[in-house]
Amino acid sequence: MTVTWAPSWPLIATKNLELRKRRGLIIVVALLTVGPTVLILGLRLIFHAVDPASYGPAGSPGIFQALANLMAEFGFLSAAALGASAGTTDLSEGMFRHLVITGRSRLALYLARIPAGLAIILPLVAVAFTALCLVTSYAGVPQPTSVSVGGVSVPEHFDQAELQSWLLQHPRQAVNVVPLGPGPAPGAAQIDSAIDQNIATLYQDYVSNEVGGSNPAANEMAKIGLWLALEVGIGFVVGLGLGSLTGQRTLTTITLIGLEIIVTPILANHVIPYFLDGQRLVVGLAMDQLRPAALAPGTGGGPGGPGRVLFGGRGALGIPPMPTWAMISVIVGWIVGWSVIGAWRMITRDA
Amino acid sequence: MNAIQLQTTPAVETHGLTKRFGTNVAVDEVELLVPRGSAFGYLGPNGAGKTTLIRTLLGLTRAASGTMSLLGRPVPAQRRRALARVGAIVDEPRFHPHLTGQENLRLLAAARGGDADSRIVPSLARVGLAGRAGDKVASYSMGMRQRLGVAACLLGDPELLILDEPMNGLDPAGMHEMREMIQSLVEEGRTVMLSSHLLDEVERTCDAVAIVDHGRVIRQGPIDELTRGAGTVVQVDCAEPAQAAKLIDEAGVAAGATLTESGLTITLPAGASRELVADINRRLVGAGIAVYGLQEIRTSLEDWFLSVTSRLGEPS
Repeated sequence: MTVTWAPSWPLIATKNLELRKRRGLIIVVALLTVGPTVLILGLRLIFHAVDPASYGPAGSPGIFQALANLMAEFGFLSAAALGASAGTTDLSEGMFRHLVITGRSRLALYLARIPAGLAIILPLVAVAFTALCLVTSYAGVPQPTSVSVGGVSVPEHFDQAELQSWLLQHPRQAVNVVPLGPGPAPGAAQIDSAIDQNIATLYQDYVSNEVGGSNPAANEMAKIGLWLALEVGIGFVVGLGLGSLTGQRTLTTITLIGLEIIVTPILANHVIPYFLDGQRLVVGLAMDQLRPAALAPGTGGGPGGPGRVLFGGRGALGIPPMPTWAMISVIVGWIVGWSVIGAWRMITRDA
Repeated sequence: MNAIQLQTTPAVETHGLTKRFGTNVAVDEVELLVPRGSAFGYLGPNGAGKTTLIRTLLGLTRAASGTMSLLGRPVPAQRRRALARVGAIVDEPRFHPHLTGQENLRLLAAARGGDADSRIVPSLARVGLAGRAGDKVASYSMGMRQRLGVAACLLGDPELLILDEPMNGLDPAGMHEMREMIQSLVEEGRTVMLSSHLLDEVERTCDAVAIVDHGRVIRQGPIDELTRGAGTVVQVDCAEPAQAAKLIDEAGVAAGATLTESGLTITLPAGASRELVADINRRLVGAGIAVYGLQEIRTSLEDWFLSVTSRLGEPS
């Protein structure tokens, strides 16, 4: 039985060719995704090589965090613009009609655009992120071997349980870290109790200081890479779906820019009374909560503290985090929902 | 339906096909039968619903009611299989301007699948675009885009080509080339259905036509048969045209006699034999009117089209 809705490889390859040959669009997308990283790291490498006394190493945890977050923002926007283009240009340039007349399933025509577009944007992000990781790892600041918590040096890369265990085994150091009331020297039981009661706050400080002072470990970099790929993939799929729905490239691109740089930051940082669950339906909030710890600003968590999320994400929301199942549902819902909407419009649209 | 039966069915067949846009009926219960292996003209003034009918046939828009089939296959039920052997240009042929002609065809061949990719180069050569296949479509003239449209049609080795206003935007040489191409396609056994408002072009290119007005097919059939039924006009060069006109009217042998700047024009009834022309001559000479010449003028498709469509405007 022939699967008529599945796009063939030649269909995907030629759609990719059609997008790739849009020179202006590809230049803008490349500049937005690769440009800032290459420019900033390139200048820092040159300055450090020329005058190492005045300019520090090119890579640092702070630079890594800033550039990776910039990559996420610009990656989403450029993916959305590419998706909007993929979803509208067949219509606006009169090719949609030719394609429909071939008798090919319209769903197949739609689905072919997804791998065709992702095959452009994901490699660009991968190049930029790889460059960032290499510079951070091999041309970065010397790495500390411990993390400072309340002035006490603690070994790196602990999770909360490991930190708690280490403090319990080192009561002489722990006494300087945990809050103990005034009075005579505390006993072991009192110190243990204070550790147990304050471990969440201590771990938050530990994570914050670790993130601020150390490069992300290799597995953390891998998580960040996957998170960036997801962010960019969502941008493309939503751009494609909305573009197919409206048939207007400019309108789609402007709408998604507005969503990403105006609506999402406002909703991520301000609780609207009686509308918190509505706010959480915005995909940017779910993605912020999933944002890996090394990219989370400040302490790695908002007022709600570190969210219980997957893949090492610790939340970057300024509002109470949502449950993990809700976060995953929002992300999957946006990907599937916009794909269904775009495909439906393509199938039902007059050509 | 087996393969032999499919071969004998009309290339296009519609029954009661209707398409509405709100309250506007663009295609009004169209009954159409396009025979295989012919050049068939779908003729009508601008806004008559020609393009809408084609778009409906090709599944670009949905019909409100009625049935249709392409190459014997019901549409939309077997749309994919029907369109596999159909090539079409609808409206002005437009392509991705940033891609070359060949790249645009690669895109369409990939959508068609099968052997379509191997037909790109021969198709471009056939329409005379082999030398410009590597140029961006943005640099193509209107005529070249029309030819690229035909090349796109040929990718599927079509049994049926549906061309919407293929002469639009072409200069006289381009129109001549397009006409020859259509004729060569028909000679290969393909069916070409073309819509047009250019009556002269349709008459030169097609064997049969359907006349459409306000979304409704008024007449259809072979051009010769249709124009034969419209009557013949005889131009009479005589000494006293006014008296001659009066004589013919009173005799009641003609459908009408009118005075023109060039003399007397007599319209013979539909189906009249040539003997009637001799009879008119005898009557005029018998009445003492000197006759210098009689010229039988065959009704052109344009005359017939105008007579048919103007008749529609008359109160019944």
